[in-house]
Amino acid sequence: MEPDQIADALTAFINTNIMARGHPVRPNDDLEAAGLDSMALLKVLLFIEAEFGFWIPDEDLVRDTLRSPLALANYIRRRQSPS
Amino acid sequence: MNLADFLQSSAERLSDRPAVTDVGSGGSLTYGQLAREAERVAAFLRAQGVEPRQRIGLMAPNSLAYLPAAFGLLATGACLTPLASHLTPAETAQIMTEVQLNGWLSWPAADRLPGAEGRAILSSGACDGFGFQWTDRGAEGPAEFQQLNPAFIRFTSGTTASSKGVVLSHEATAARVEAADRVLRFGDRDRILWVLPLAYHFAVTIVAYVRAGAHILLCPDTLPGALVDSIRRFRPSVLYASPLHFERLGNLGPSEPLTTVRLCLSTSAPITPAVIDRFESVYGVPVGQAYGIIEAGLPCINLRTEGEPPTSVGPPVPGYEIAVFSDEGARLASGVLGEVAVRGDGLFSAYYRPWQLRERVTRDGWFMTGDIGWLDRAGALSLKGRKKAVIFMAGLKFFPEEVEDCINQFPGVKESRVFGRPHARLGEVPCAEVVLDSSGRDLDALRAHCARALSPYKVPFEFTVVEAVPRTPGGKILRRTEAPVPVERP
Repeated sequence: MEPDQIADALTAFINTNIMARGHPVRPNDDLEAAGLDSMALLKVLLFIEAEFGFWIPDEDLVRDTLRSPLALANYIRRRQSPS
Repeated sequence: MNLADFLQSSAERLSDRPAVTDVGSGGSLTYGQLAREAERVAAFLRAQGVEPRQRIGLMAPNSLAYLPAAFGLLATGACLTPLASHLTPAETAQIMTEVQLNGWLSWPAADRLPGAEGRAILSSGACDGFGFQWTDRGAEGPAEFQQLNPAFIRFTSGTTASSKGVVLSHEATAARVEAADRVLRFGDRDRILWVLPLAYHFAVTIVAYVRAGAHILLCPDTLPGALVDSIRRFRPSVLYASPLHFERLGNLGPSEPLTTVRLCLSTSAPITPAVIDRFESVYGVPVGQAYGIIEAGLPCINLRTEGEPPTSVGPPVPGYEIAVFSDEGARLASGVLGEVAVRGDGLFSAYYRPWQLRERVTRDGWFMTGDIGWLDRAGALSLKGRKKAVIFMAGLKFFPEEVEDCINQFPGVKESRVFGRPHARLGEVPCAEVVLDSSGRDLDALRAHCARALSPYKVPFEFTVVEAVPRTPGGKILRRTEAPVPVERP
């Protein structure tokens, strides 16, 4: 999957499962600014584990990785094809 | 007595010493400032007409402003009902109805309530922008409630899932603080790194820190790297956190030993020996455990100083007794599994709805916790699961019935079963089995329905369509915990 597709899948998950009563987010939106708290983040980590087969290691749980669906998608893509 | 007196007394002793610092923004309040800001909130609420024993909600996220807002509310004599800021409007509305909330104080970003009266705004000080709204100003509540000196109503499903709203008096909260402090010995040199939601953990611990004159370090960013950074920069003496925090910190190692930390205490969910070992080998500080129950406070604490096993929640603290009972009500000997009971001055006063004084739900003063456990010969308690099904996700507890009720309201759902699937990092993850009345229903729409009504941690992660949900011969939904579950879950 390309980062854009991954970002779309993440965005769809977030909008259905977390933002159902808020404003939908877009792939480039800042998730913290959109109101995703630490509990909501755990749901995103669960989704990534289920869809992409790994739990993001604690040392990678930093703002840059988690900023937006696209940032997460780029991280996931790098994990999938280490080069 | 009033718990706000503790703040007053610390402010008189330690006026210029820091009470609370937000390690993210760097903002800070001294004890003198905190007391003045709390008085400003109290005066604002009194000017709105707030009176003792009214039930007033407080909705705000973790922030400096939470402390003056809470102590100011308590100082009016009103009863504080915490409303966590992640609650959905439906969850908030349910609490308002169940505890007959008279009004609520909320942070600037909180939604206005449709139909409620005008919102008065506090326009200066640490709680600048906080608003107060009446929701049901005239609601009086049960006559027996008016006889109490209530400080808090903790809205929870309670131990039985049908009792809602645990009423705690100022006296019982003070007794809890006194008991915990005799073991934890907080002092005015302590610096406490705080990562837990204030809406859930205020009644014992924050009050204890303020009474001792300790410095509370609010840590808004609890991502592991940020947490380590805060520890290095602010050199706390106490870490009070959930197993997930200790696990995350341990996974970041190796590290220099945490030489400033005298006390690490894990609370809110069972912690595994592996997480404890990992953290201790990385940071060189032992991790203790506190057994927290909303109805009873912190009746047991394991500091690991007397050779207690790390998996034990420890012996009862002074002021509490612990016993283990059989299903038939017989007190059991050490080493025998049964239901854990607690007795002591820190017990709650009543359940709000349906209204039941504590005396009606205790036996000879014993409160039955619903936890299964055993006492060792030295009197330390170990827990082995729950009598009733409860789901723990990352330290937050809820009952499956609440989620099932929500699912069952969705058109086309005949019945459902919600259970916790074990998860290596989060303890449990809620999952649902649903029985539909016709095929091809939209599960995404069902997900969104749940996400609108429930806080994120309660929304099932997986929905599976099944032919029927498993039931007991008596027709009740079969719960995984009908037989006690092994305790060694994260």
